[in-house]
Amino acid sequence: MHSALTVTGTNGKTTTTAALCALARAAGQTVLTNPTGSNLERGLAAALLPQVGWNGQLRDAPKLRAILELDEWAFASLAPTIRPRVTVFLNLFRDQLDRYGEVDRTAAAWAATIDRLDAQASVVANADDPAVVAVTRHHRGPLLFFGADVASDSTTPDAWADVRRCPACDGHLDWDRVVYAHLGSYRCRSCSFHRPTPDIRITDFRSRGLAGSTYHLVTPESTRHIAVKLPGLYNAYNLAAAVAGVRAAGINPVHAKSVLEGFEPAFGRAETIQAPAASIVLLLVKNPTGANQTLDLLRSEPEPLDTLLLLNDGVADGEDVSWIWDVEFERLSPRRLFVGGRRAEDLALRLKYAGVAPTVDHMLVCPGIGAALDAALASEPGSQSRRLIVLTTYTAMLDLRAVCARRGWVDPYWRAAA
Amino acid sequence: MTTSGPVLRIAYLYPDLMNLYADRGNVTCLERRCAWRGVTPLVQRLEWDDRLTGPADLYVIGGGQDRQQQLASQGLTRRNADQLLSSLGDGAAMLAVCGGYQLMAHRYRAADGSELAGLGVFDAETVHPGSDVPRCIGNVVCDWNGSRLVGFENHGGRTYLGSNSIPLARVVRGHGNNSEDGTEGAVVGSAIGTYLHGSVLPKNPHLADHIIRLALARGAPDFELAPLDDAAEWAAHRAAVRAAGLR
Ligand SMILES: [Zn+2]
Repeated sequence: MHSALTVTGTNGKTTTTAALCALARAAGQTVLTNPTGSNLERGLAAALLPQVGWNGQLRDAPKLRAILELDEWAFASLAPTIRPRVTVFLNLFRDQLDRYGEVDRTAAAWAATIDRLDAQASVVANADDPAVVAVTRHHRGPLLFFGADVASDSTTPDAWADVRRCPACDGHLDWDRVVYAHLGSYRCRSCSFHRPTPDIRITDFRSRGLAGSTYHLVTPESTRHIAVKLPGLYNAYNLAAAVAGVRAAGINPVHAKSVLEGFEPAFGRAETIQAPAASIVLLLVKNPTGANQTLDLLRSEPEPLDTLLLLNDGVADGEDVSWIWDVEFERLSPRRLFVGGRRAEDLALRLKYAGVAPTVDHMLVCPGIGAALDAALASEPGSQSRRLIVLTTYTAMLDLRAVCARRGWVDPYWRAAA
Repeated sequence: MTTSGPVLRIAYLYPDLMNLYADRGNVTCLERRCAWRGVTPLVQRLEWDDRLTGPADLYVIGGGQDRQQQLASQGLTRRNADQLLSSLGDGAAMLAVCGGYQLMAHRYRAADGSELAGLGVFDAETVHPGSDVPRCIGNVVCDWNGSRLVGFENHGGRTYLGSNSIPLARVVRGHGNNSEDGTEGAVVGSAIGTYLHGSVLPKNPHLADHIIRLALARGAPDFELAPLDDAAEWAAHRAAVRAAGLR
């Protein structure tokens, strides 16, 4: 068995992988990873090439640790070859169904892959996601759970949630609480399936909006209060997963608190670009659950914000834009709203039916991303140090960064990522 | 807004199971387009254990995954088929999308050869050719009553119509029912089945209003749907046409 750690799941792979790398480096390890969300085979090859010696063998660094982000299907095809020592399963949500297929198929592929892992391989799983718990519960090796003990008034999964009934027996699931989507605390009425008690827990979660969050990180040995720059409960899950991951790998997480508190958002995940007229905050969205979490985050900001929404339909975004009808744009109350990207008109229509458009002063629909950005940045009297919030799909974010790079506001991303 | 207009009763079948491609946008669209005209939409969202509380004017069902589709099929046949079929027999309208469309036909033969009985609203049956055969995925444009319908399709099963169903539309770009005979969807009486997601109704406002008229035909046949400003709807429609590589 190799020493690799792999991270898979629908949302949070890039952030969790980056946090795992930071924790491993703080513990003195040399890390090999695949950068900036390029989680397919191509990104892996790019990450591995510099480490390959003249004879085609991986250079044998004594403390070299591969920490790899694998998308839902790359995990199924590559894990039997990589033979990871630790695999972190974050969550399973609907995402780009034209590309990844249906959630049940992904779950079945994961379950089959877990069966082929080494018996001593560790699995780290999200206790709050019944889909993840269902696929990992047959793993014979060490199993470590992370989860969030946070209050919630909801006892019903959200309308776009992918788990409604027991994944083990199709029986009725009762929920003590739903945190978001189908994550929470659950128990089946017909069989023994229920939320396992997490080993690593988030408690006392407090959002500080886009500025970050504070919470207690509870491990079997200690309870630590931490204040992180990463916003949202979804990122608290990611950091808890990373802490569980290093633990499962036997890496002593020295300085974990300061590493996590110093941790900066990954590429396009609440990253800020400074433009002359405004700070541009990039929030990557690619599926209903992620988008709805991001909208919740904006709602927790004290003031309505200027908001630019960008929707592309490239292969990497998903060519099917139906998913925007599962995004609860009804929650959006921006100060001014701008819409761009190749499917800007679809998004504008969704906003109309959400009842958002008539309530804002200004909605501009503009497929050209440079033009949409110009409109959104066009100065207003008395608006000096303002922020522009950008919710964007993946290729639209690359387009936007290219525009910003041409204007000298940001390094081209391949340099920023190095 | 006037409240003197008619009531439109919508039974939304199994949103908890059959909402894979955000087909709930269709119900949002129907609710808004009714309310904008003074029609009061009353929506019953039917969960798996629920029974229909009475006849509706319009039944809506979306697409789901195989397992969810089986559960929906059980919920329908055990608890709700009689009410649904008698109501449709009395002229109620229906919009059935993708997996819901398959469930409302005679039968669905899965990739492994097993058969799932449908309700037989549409004279049609669906065969899944096997998981090694590519799914029908992509943007669709078709001709409908001298205009166009747009949407996105993503289905493994191929649907073949019998002689008592007429196709909803003719495929211009995309696969449609089976990628062989150029048909898309099915119509029987006031029931419409289609493979189009998108969601389909918001960016095809003429189809949305057609369905509202079908649903009002018995209770309020003389009620006129006031025209709406559909500029945003048609802009999204044209964007979907462009995405399909057409002008
Ligand atoms: Zn059960």
